[in-house]
Amino acid sequence: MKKTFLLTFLCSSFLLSGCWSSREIEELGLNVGIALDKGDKVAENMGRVEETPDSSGFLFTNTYQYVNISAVPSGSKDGGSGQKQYVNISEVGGTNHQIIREVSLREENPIMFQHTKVIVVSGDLLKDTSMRKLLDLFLRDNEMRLSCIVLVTKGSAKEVLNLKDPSVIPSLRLVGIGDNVYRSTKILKPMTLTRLQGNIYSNNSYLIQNVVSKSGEVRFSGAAVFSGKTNKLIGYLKEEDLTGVTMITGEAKGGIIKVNEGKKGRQRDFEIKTIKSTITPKVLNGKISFHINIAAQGRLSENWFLSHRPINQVLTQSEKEIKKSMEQRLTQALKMTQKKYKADVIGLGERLRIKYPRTWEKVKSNWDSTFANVPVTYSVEVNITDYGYNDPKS
Amino acid sequence: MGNGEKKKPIQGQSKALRLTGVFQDDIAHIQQLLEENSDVLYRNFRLSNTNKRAGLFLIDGLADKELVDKFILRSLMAPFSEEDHELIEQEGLKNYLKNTVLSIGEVKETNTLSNAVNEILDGMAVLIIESVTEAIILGIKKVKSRSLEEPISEPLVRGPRIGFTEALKDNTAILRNQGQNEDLVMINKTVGKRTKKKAVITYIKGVADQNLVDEIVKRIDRIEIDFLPESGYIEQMIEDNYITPFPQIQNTERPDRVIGALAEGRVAILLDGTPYVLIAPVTFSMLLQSPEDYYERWMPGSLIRVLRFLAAFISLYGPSIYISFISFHPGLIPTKLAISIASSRVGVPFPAFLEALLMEIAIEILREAGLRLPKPIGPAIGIVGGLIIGEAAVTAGIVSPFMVIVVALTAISSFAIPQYSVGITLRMLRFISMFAAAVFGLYGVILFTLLLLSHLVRLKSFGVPYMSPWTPLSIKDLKDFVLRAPVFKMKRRPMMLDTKDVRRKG
Repeated sequence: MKKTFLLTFLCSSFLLSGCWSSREIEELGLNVGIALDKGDKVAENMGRVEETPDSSGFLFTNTYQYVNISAVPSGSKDGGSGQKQYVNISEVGGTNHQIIREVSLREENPIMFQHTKVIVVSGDLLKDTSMRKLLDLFLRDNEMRLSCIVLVTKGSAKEVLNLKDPSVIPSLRLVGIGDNVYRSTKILKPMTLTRLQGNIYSNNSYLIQNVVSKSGEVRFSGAAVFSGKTNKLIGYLKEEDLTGVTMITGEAKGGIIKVNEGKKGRQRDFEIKTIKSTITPKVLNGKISFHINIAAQGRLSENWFLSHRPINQVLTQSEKEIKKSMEQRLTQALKMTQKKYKADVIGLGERLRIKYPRTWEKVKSNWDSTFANVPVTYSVEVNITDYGYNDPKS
Repeated sequence: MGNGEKKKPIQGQSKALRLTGVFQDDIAHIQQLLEENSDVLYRNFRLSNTNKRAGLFLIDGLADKELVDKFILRSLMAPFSEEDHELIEQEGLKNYLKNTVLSIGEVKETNTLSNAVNEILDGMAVLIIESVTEAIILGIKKVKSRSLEEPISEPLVRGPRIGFTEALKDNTAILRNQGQNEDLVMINKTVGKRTKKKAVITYIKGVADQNLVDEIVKRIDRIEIDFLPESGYIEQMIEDNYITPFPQIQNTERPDRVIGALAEGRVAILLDGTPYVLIAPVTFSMLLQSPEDYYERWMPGSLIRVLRFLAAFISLYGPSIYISFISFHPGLIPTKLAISIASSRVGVPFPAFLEALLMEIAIEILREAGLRLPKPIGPAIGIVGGLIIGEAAVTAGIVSPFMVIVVALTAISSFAIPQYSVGITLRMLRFISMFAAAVFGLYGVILFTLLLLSHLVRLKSFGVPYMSPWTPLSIKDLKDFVLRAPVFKMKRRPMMLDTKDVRRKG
């Protein structure tokens, strides 16, 4: 009797619960990217009966990028149908969550954020709204993966998620470009939500990769500088400035250092194989200073400057020039961060905290302004280990 | 021959009846008891020159007629000499015949009618002689058996090509023939109430645990059933737990598997009339092992075993994990895979569970049909069913191509398991697992797994925990679990079997 009861109970608990909270994968909106832009009361209104809700308050636009699964070529249906593999839906509102639910009024499939790869935020929006507020939902919600990366664009974020090529999903392309960090010094380590969270909560200043779009193409171009105190955007670094920054932070994994000897047609390329950056903080009588040592090894990949000197001399000469070129970039990077933006985005504070925690305790509350006036010296070692099959001179 | 159903019960009153020695009466009685059996031959003749009548009963087809003619009838009918008559005077007719005339290996006697009738029906020749109150039973049975062929249900690449047959004597002979071993014990048992069948319990004395042997003998003695057509009956009558999908006794038609099990300290049960020999006790890992694991060198042996565990896992969980991912946890699939799965499911009208159920049932029907079909059209139907239905179902948009892959992989995996009965077990459980997945997703699958494991750790086969050597953990026995240690390293017999002689080597 007891057994029968138990068995009935077990069976019924399984059968009566039905397909609890199940949702088939094809009935979900597979969200891969989100773009945040400044709000536009008129353009995004979609002919609503009423005005945009609380149109008096702060408004911004969210663009959600879905995968258009019926346009994705699958199996025997080879080749693209020419249809775009994604759908972008824009909605206006005052908070992210509210906007997400607005989308439910337009689409039958609920949005699922577990596959969201990228959040692109418009720089205009970030100038007067803090990153923390804008991404609060995404940073705390349990649905979105913390490996999702954040990008900033100087222009319209919506446009970044809109490519000319219909066979590519823009969000996946953005993530893919980020993976090329070993091929260029101009790519920052991807700012995932995890890393962003760390920076936000520890009030560090930080850089986020800037992406620009033009006529359906995208390009990683420089970075946006964020102040640790306000979490707002304070300016941009150019692509060339970024090279110096990634060399200091050690984010550079590879890439080309171009050397131009002044005259036309006399350029050389140095391809970085390994690069190592050592930041040494020093505290002498309460005075903080830093020394940065950068050691790069690589190959002389391209040489337009033909000479008839022995190869050793050519290499020594090249190393000297490369070193000079790298030093210029470091100077430029330090100038931009220390003097122009007064924001420690190159991680000097972190080294100080580790090495001199007591000193750090004193300066941490006002670190960015201290950083702006800290003396930083640097040294660069360049070693060409490889120059190809032939002597570059012949 | 099919004399089984012809065996008439001997009625209570005639059971006690003894042979009277009055020839007419005895013959009449026996004939009365056998009257409905048309295959009984009766030969009435004069016993040599003794002036006594004699009658010989035998079953047509079961008896070796050449033997009867040459060594029974001829010697009984040939005239006895003077010395013979003197011997008859000294020893009595019956003993004289047994000692001097009947040159047959197996000679017994009985004085009851019922025994005589039973022996006749068993294929013996029974000789009734006037004024002798015992019937002489002559073993002239010629067992019809087929040649020893490779076992169909358990083929191996490497290993003996011999399989058991339906004849018990052949089977015991095969076991004896595997190498001289004076400790190989074979206990004869008769099972079945109405139709008596011979069974043999075999083990290696000095290796197998005596308690285990006693328990098996006790359980077999306790079997009360009128008829046992196959060893599966014994299995079901003596197993520990009948409400479990897991077989607690292994069946095999491979003699090498039986010998291996005996050497480990297990006990085998042979039944007349079936090539399937039972091995007890059984542990779960044993069901995923093949004798080949030991014949190959230890590395390929181990790897193939790992592969089989993997196959068992896929066979059990394949569709349920698919269902969980598709219906509950799309976030756990890598993005690109998620996109391609989602796109392949566009237009599929069923939820993943129904889709999986549909395909799994289809493939089970296909398997069953393929088994029943006459051999020549079997493969053709396999192609029609598998390829055409699979392809057409995808083209028609009823199922997604991914589902077909999952179902096919699962089906293949379930056939990679060397024991057919375990394959069925896993297939049954697969459906429960699919239900669990459909209700709660991966959480349900884990709940199901917990239930399954808690059942498994409680299950015992003749006192040996089913999940041993894993639970209870016996580190030494792990040498022959998922991986197989080199043969020279496996010095001890499995600890879980509690063998008398622990050391296998050195």
